[in-house]
Amino acid sequence: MNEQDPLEAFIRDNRSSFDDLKAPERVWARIDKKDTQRINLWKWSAVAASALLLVAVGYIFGIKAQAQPDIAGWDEYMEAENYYQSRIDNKMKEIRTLPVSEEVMNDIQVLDEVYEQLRKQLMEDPNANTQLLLSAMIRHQQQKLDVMEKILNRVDKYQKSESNNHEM
Amino acid sequence: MHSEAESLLIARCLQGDRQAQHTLYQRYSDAMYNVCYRMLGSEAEAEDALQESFIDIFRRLDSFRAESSLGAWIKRIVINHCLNVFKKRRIRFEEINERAGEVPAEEYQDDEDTVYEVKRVKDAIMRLPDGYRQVLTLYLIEGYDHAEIADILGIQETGSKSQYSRARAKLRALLIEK
Repeated sequence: MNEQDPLEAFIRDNRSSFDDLKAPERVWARIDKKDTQRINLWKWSAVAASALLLVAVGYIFGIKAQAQPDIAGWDEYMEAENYYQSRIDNKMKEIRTLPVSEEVMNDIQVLDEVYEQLRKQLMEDPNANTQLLLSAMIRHQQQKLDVMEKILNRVDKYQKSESNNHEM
Repeated sequence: MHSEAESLLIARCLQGDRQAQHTLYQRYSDAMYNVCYRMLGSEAEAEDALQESFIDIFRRLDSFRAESSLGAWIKRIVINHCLNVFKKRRIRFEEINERAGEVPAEEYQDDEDTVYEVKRVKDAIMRLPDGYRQVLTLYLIEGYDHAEIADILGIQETGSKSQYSRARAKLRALLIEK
């Protein structure tokens, strides 16, 4: 490796400038709510294990009844989908606790409808480009997550400026 | 390797002292948030990854051994966590990485008088395809060597080296285009 490379040297010399982001305040608040004690972990893992067993049994017996589309990449899609959906559900819970307008909720509703359309197209149209649709669906979920994040940030800022105004 | 004050802090964290956990969190959270952002390329995901990583860190603190520094131990957990997030969303990237396969044919050379700016370089790094960005930042910013990167990513050391030089070429190309 060429040690004299100017680009490498530049990045290394300015290393500390690359850590310019600050962790959002709310992250600690969320960690603070979680139980981080190891002692309880065994107890909970036992509970979780039996719950998982129940789910697994249900899944194995249920799987035959479930119509699973014969699409390449479907399992991977479902894995990603579950991941994003749980993130989205969490954010949604947070947004619901905020005084956001009806309008915002309606906009989120519109996003859901777009997603449903993509899904419908995938299921019904035999000529659909499945790979393209699957990645469009996943991208859609990620964008939705970003939008929700922006809403949370915006409300956060707004509330802060509101409380500053009251103090004046 | 770590100071007495740090050992004391760790001991208090292990007893479930929230104040101590907060102190430890504050000491590393900003730096680790930046690591998450560089690994994942999205602030929303970086935020979630930071949260999950620290919950994990507090739960696993009793397995921390003084062989490495606490900071290095924490960073490895954070990076592993980001990689797990990554595996979960791999389809999205198969498609994108295909496009990223277009490697610039020639290695661009820096002009004698190339002047870099942190912001431009940072933006260009964030525009790299994920696989490139990860190897490049692990090497240049997080300070791991290729053997360590190979271990982290589960690839060969030679793979890390060649991926890195492709990433660097791509970064140069991005910095040259306007």
